Amino acid sequence: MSILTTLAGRALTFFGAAIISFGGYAQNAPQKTQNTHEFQLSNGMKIIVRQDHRAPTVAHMVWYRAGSIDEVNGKTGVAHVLEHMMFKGTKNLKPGEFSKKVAAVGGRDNAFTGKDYTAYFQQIEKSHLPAMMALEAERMQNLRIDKEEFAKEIQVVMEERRLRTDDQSKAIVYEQLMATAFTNSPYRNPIIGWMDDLKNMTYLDALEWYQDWYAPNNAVLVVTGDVMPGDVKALAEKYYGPIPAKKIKERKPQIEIPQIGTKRIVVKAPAENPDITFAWKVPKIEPNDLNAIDPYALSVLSAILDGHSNSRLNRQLVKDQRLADGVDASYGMSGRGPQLFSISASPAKGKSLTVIEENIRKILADIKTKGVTNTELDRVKSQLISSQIYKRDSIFAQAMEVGIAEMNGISWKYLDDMLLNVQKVQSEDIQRVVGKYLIDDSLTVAVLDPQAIQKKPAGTQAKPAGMRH
Amino acid sequence: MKNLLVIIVFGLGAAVAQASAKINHWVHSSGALVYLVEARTIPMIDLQIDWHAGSVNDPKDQLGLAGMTAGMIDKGSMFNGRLISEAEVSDRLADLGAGLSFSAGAERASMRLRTLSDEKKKLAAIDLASTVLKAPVFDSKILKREQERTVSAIKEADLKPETKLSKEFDRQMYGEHPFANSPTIKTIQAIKSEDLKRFYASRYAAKGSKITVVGDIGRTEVDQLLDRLMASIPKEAKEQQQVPDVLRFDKSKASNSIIKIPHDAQQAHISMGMPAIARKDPDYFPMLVGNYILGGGGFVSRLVKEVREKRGLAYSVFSYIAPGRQIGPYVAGMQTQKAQADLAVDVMKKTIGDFIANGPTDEELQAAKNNLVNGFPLRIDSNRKILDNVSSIAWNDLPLDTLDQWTNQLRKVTKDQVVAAFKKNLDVNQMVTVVVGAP
Repeated sequence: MSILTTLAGRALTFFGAAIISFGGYAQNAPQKTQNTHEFQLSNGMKIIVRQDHRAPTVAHMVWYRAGSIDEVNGKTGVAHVLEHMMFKGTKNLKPGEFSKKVAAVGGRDNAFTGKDYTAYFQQIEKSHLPAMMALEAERMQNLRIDKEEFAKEIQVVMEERRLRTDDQSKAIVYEQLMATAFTNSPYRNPIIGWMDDLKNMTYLDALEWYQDWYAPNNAVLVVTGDVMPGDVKALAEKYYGPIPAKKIKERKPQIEIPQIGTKRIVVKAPAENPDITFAWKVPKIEPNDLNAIDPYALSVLSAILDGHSNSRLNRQLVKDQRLADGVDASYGMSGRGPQLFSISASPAKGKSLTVIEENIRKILADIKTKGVTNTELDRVKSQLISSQIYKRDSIFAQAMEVGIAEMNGISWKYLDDMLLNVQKVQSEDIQRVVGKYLIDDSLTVAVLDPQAIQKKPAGTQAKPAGMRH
Repeated sequence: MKNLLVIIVFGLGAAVAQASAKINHWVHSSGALVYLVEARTIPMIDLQIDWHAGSVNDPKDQLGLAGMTAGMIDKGSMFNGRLISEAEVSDRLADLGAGLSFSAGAERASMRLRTLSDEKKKLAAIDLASTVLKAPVFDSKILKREQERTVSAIKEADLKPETKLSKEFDRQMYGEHPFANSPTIKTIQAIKSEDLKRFYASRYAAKGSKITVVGDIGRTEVDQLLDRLMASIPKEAKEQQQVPDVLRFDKSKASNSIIKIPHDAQQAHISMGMPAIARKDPDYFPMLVGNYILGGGGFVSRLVKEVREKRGLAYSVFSYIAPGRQIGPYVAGMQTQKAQADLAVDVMKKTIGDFIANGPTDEELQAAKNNLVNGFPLRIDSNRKILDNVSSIAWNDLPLDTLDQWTNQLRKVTKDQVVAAFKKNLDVNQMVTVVVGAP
């Protein structure tokens, strides 16, 4: 479960390459509106169906607007822990029976938790859709959280944290960066939770989370694939329709306070190569103002800096000047919480972080004063258009895109308009956003200071078993 | 490096059949073997070329030669006396919204091209790929840069327990066989531009290469595009790849060995296994079904039940078989906090041992077959998945109806066959266990 936990959380908030995050929005509007339908059940549950009849398969996803952003101090990680417990039995299903039933029909199931949401999915041959709805409807209303099962599963989650974060130097830096960049927004806490909170979590915390957030009126169903909208609607009414709505508790805004000066941290972790990340607080696409141009300009900027192997950062830092071995630029274009624009680089051997920093600043200053070329702008648009077509190769990716947008408060209906907005971006827009947002007062810099791992005595190399050939 | 091969080959393990993935196969005039699946609904084309130009014949003191050659092909070419720089290649691809990449595994080197099927863009993409293949310059300055980046990546990777584990595990699986080798800083630094040129010129040829095409295109047009593309490389390879046979462990000597390598990480990383079967082995389907029950079937496998659900020992625990043209291993793996590593190894061993000794229950066998048969449409429901499956069929010289016969083959598997195949190919007392980060 939660194979995608960290990935999804990051894709949204940090590592998501801006332009790619647009992938999947269909290329032309008429075709898409024909293909996509939306309904609402009387209990408040939203249903979105996208038809794609290429193959007899279906992706069935239930998205809950409950992610780590909704957690409170001392209980970080509970959204993700509950996600694990959702596979551990309900009133009518024994622990593990859910996955067993999905497996029996040849399906694949999993779930993932992000900063903004938790989602559950099955990929199946189309005739099994009713059975999948029956299963998801069951755990939406009848989850049982057993104390013993919880005690084992929390150990699994702690192993997951060790695997994905504690033993990964880059993940440690990312976790520290987020905790530094954000002062009062819950985005400062990792999705998987702090280890101490996990150690002190009880099954009652998970139960409370389930009771607070798991309700049809806090969920969106996304179905993509070889289905007819009318059939899906009828099935949804049958399986999800009878589940009573709940009063969803008030969400405090917890707006991040303005940053008033550069923050710098050094993180010591086992690694060979150092690494530096610059992260600026920047605006995102606001659901009530989808046409404000700045977020689109930031996304195009990110592509011009790092959209292909000869884009500005890579060409100048890695190739021409040989200052860095690798570079990255990314922008979290939408999300329920505050977003960052980030640039990171790992220096080439013998090159200092100071020189890297100077040159990144030089590259940004150059864009600010001289702008970008039309060739660069056209290139970004051309990549964007082709990525829309390639994305159609996966019904799962299409369901992901619709679901993520919905969780962020953006209807799939506006995705085409947003795509057009990207194409409206001009050089002046990019110059303006660099000058306005990529400034020191809203900057956090995180440096990875590599620590040698303990060297063990050599000479104990075992004889290969292959010698027995 | 072998991991790449393992993943690709294993992809076939997951493959299944459907009438819509009809393979059209012919020999192109250049001698290349072509496998086409027409898929007209999305205006895009995927094309993959596989050459027998993997790392298996890398000289001992230049391990990494095949991989570096593949990685350098698109970093600048001469065309009509003019240098098409790596920057120009990259920009032109981006302008077309196309993707072009080269990579090398243990046995095969691959080119992958993805383009829109729009007439102009498609032709431009093929022209660019032809230019790239025609006369790569293997510029020594760019080679130096790539060597520096590779060296820094090797240093970083070698600190990680998972890298230490996979290198040692390969050594144990393959012994003196070249599949056991991984590039080191020294062998990467020993590679010269001339070596890349020589390797490229002698191995990348039309005849014997396998070309898989999936997308919005028909046979006549594929032939025309290949006329342009294959004119860029020699008809026949000057040197043939030699792959020594991978041997099974000597059954007369039960080793039961556990290799423990210390590491500072919080978790111990564990792999356990032995060489098992080749892809063409008649035991393939019984092994596939059996492994689904033992460790391949995600949340419902025995290993997940014993290790994760009953004991909470790990987040991820799995097993797989990785058969290819050569015998590939059975591998089981997991990660757990150090103090529990010995317990975890015991549980894994017992679970695997029990399964080899007693086989599946009737209920488990039925559930596995249900999953693999019913899940068949999911295995080929995108162009990308079809490309992976068909290129594996091509590479492994499997029958063209492999996908059509897939579910039938699964349905036919009996409990006796599973028991016999596991007993014949695996022995828990022969398996090698490697633990990195042992307590």
